[in-house]
Amino acid sequence: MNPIQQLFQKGSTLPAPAEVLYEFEEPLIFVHGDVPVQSLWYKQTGTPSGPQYWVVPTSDPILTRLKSGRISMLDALRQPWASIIEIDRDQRIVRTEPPKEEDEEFLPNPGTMLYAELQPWFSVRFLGENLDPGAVPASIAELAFKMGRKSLRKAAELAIAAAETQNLKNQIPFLKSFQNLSFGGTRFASFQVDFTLPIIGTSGQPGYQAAIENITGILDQATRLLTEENAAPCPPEELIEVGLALCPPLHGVVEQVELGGRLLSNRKIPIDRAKTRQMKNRASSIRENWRTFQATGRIRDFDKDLPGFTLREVIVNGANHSDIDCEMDEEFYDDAYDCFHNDLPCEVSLAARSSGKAKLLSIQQCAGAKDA
Amino acid sequence: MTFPTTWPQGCPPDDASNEPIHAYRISKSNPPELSDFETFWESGRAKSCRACGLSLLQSREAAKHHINLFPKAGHWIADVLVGGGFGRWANTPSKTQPLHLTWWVPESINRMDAIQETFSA
Repeated sequence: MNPIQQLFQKGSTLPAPAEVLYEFEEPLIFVHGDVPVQSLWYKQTGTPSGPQYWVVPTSDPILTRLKSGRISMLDALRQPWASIIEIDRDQRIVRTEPPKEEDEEFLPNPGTMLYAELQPWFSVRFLGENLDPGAVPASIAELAFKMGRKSLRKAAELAIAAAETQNLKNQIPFLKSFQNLSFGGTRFASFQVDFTLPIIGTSGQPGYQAAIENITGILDQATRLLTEENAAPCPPEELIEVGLALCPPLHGVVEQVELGGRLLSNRKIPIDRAKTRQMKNRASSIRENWRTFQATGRIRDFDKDLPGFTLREVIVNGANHSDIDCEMDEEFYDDAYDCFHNDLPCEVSLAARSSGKAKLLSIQQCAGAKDA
Repeated sequence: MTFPTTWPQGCPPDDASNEPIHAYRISKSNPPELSDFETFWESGRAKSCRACGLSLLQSREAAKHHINLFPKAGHWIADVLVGGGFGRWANTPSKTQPLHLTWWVPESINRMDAIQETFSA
């Protein structure tokens, strides 16, 4: 007989819970007992005679982690001992026994947090046959962070552009926060990185809900590009870039990416390498139509989150030119920042695109700029 | 709009709204069946005014989360128009369920007519 069965024996009456953690019409997840003998109760199902619970020993540290979203509901219910306890309508225990295999089917879905607001806003999980902790370089985990940040940044950029076009400026502060979401945690030994919003208590503010719907819509379109055969035959180039940023690399141990989180309506969306190839082909065919040109100028506005900059005092083909808004990949960040920070004139190679910002292809300081 | 006389006095409460809004209820079947829309009062499990109403959630995301937390609760989310001609409702949040809403259905109304759409979770 395990400690739970010793505490709650058949025929005894269940006292009122010490703490209700989740209720809907009735308490569904709650805690019984006090330190050091606490138990966590999870309602699995109801029968005409009464409810059936999955009951495990618990502790204050486990409950703290559960309530703060650091562990999922399933994590909290996976303990060395578990019991199935059925009670009748008079709160009398009528059955207590170890779980059977079929009882496992009644447990929460993996990764589900106690409360909806604790679910990560966005998550990137790497999958692969040889992807085992201790067997791959730490740079693989770093790649998951980078991939999550890059795809969100690009989606937020598109959402900001849409908000600016429609003069919905109250969305922009919220959308900017998606360009660099807070670290929400990593799942133990699973190569999953979660991202969450740093803003607390803003959900009722004007523009917040619309901003969430805006960026959710962008990510929905991008994931449709990846998952639906007939989605958007001629999508905007920027949307293809978002889609490409969500794809796994073509080489190495990461064979598949599973995307999730509130921004994807908590769906789990698997993306494999075949999708990477498709998106790369689509991106290449668009890039063939890019018009490239050289320009010189100074970087006076630098957006480290995007990242990107505005080139001012621009000269193209020996003639003055209007300011150019540029975006760049991470590889150019240091060189561009150096020109911005030291106000050095620079020479850039750019791709003019059908819409939005020019894409930086190369950058270097003008000869003698540092000496001058 | 009349409510069952067998309900507790003052139920639904005076401050319950009849403004039409959308709310979400989890259902085991699609289309939902009456058994998916049974109150605690009707099933004899409780006799309070809250139990005379149906529990709904104010966002589809909250409903989806509930299904992930309790996979056997149902696989479908019914979009329900509450208020308007379809009875009265009140925000009935708790510390652990801030998006909870209670919907009291009048006697003369078939509650299944209030279902606008049913989604897969």
